[in-house]
Amino acid sequence: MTEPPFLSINSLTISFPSEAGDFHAVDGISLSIERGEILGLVGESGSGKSMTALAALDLIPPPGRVSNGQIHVGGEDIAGLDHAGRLNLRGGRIGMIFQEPMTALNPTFTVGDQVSEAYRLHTDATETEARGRAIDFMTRVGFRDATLRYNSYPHQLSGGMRQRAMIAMALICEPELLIADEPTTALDATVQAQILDLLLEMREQLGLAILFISHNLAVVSELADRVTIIYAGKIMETLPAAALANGARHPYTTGLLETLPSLEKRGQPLPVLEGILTDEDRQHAGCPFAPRCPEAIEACSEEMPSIRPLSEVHRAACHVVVGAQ
Amino acid sequence: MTALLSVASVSKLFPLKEPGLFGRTQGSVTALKDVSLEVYKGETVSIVGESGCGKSTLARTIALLTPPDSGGIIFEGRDMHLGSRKEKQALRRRMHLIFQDPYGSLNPRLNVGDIVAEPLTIHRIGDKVSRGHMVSEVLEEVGLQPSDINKYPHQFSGGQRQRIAIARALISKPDLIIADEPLAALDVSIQSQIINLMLELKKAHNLTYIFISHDLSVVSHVSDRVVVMYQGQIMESAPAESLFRNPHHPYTRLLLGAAPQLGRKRDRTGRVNRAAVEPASDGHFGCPFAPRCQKVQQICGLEAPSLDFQHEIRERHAAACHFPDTP
Repeated sequence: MTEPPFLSINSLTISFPSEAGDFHAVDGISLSIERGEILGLVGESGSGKSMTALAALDLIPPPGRVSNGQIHVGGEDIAGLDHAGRLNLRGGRIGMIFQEPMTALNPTFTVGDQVSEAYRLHTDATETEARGRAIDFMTRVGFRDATLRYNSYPHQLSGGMRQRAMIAMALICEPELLIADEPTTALDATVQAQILDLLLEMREQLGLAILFISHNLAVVSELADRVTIIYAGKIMETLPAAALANGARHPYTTGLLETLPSLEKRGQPLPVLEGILTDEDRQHAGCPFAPRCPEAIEACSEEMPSIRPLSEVHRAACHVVVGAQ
Repeated sequence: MTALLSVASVSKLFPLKEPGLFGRTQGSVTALKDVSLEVYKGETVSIVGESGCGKSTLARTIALLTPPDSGGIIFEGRDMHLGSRKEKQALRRRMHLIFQDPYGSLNPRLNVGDIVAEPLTIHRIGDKVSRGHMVSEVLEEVGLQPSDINKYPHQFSGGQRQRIAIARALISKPDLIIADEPLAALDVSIQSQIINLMLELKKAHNLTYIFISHDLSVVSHVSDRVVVMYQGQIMESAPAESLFRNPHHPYTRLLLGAAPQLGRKRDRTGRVNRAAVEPASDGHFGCPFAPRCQKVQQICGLEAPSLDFQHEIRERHAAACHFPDTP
């Protein structure tokens, strides 16, 4: 029997109350991450990708709530966790890093204190033990002089080093899953490359699974094993990262890929996905992408297509692409 | 052909102050060091580089927002920073800036009509009626509705706000538009809409763009010529095709190699040089990239290579490197 996935999200819907009834930020998403796997979650702003990640940590900001679906971590439903179980989940079993390390770090404590605090919260380690372990992890993530840097304040570090400190903090309890929400978006290209390399290295060393959230298709295709593309809170397509550039089938995915600028198309007008996502698109019964989709047929505005397989490793939710088969 | 705009040996230092109100100046940071470049009418010149390389300072200097310490900005043969207030005012009408953040760069208390008409008001162009006509004309051109005139910025999405910023930049009929990361805050599917708009407008009005970005795929798409900066200095300057297909400077190679690419599996065997970067202070000799460079030799730390004819590999392709890569 194969091992169950470490994280399994099943028909998750996250709702926010609004004057016009519930607004579904995430609408029936199912996904899973195996141990040691990197899943790339790609979507534009408002697609629900960050909300999905917060749900895995049971951290949905009120008044939002999980109105449907379950989340299992290591086979256990997180809705049934008590307070201690939830604390162990956040930072213990699942670590998290964010886009902007400056706002995620406390400016009034040293970096080392913040890294070791993460360890002391989850273990009975003494201050000295925690300090030693923090220095060990800071070294692992690339601080060349961790003993010295332990006493640095966040503002004394560059953006890249701050993100490394965040990674040390997220990994110090050796979580099984790291959720990385746009961790390289605020960084320069060469620093971004270093951080992506570091994530791969940490996966090898710790057998870590990573949920990597990004709007950047190129970054995800380089880093991830599998990619899930979401739009307006719904999954459009899931496929192996290696197949993203040439094997994507959903009109939203292929549309996004075609809009990417490149040297080859220099100076030429780019194909565009016309329009923007509106609230009405999210609420009608059909596919939320239908109003912008160049291939939409009648069924698209009437019924949301279910996710169906195109192959063993490739699934899409589209009447046109899957329906024809 | 003479250049529309020449940046002639511009240098700019920012003083570093001790903490406190009466802190003494101790040293300085080099934001721009002997930067020279020419921009011709109708061309898109992109300036790329990582944060702190001086690209935004250069844009601000060109736009008359920051005076240079030495050197000059020559627009149609006149040094702009030396001009009188009135002359500067007149020149500002000929060039316009677009910023990265479409949320921060539009006044939330003004409606779209007033925002877009503001350059006309400042430069005293037209009367109330003709301004109204010009505003609706330019709004249509950037893809907004005439009815949007009475709306406020918060009622628009990021992409539409950037259209408003472009309309505002366009209305005084400038020759030069300086765009500082105009796409960085936009979603992927919206980026291409704005790229297309900028390309269309360039054609329709024979505009010249100075385009500042860290996104190399966007730069490769829109540019005629690309200038690579590092720590306040130009490392390489070349036509876009030539730069991307055939980079000569080790820093350009590093930058291109670090850019994520679709369909490439990440292989983390030392593609990126891990050496730490220390910001250059004054009194620094040699090539600023030398501490990170894999091809570094003794001369690199002693003498700064110049971006001159001697190192010009092909026509208009120059690299400031003692040991440029040759194909």
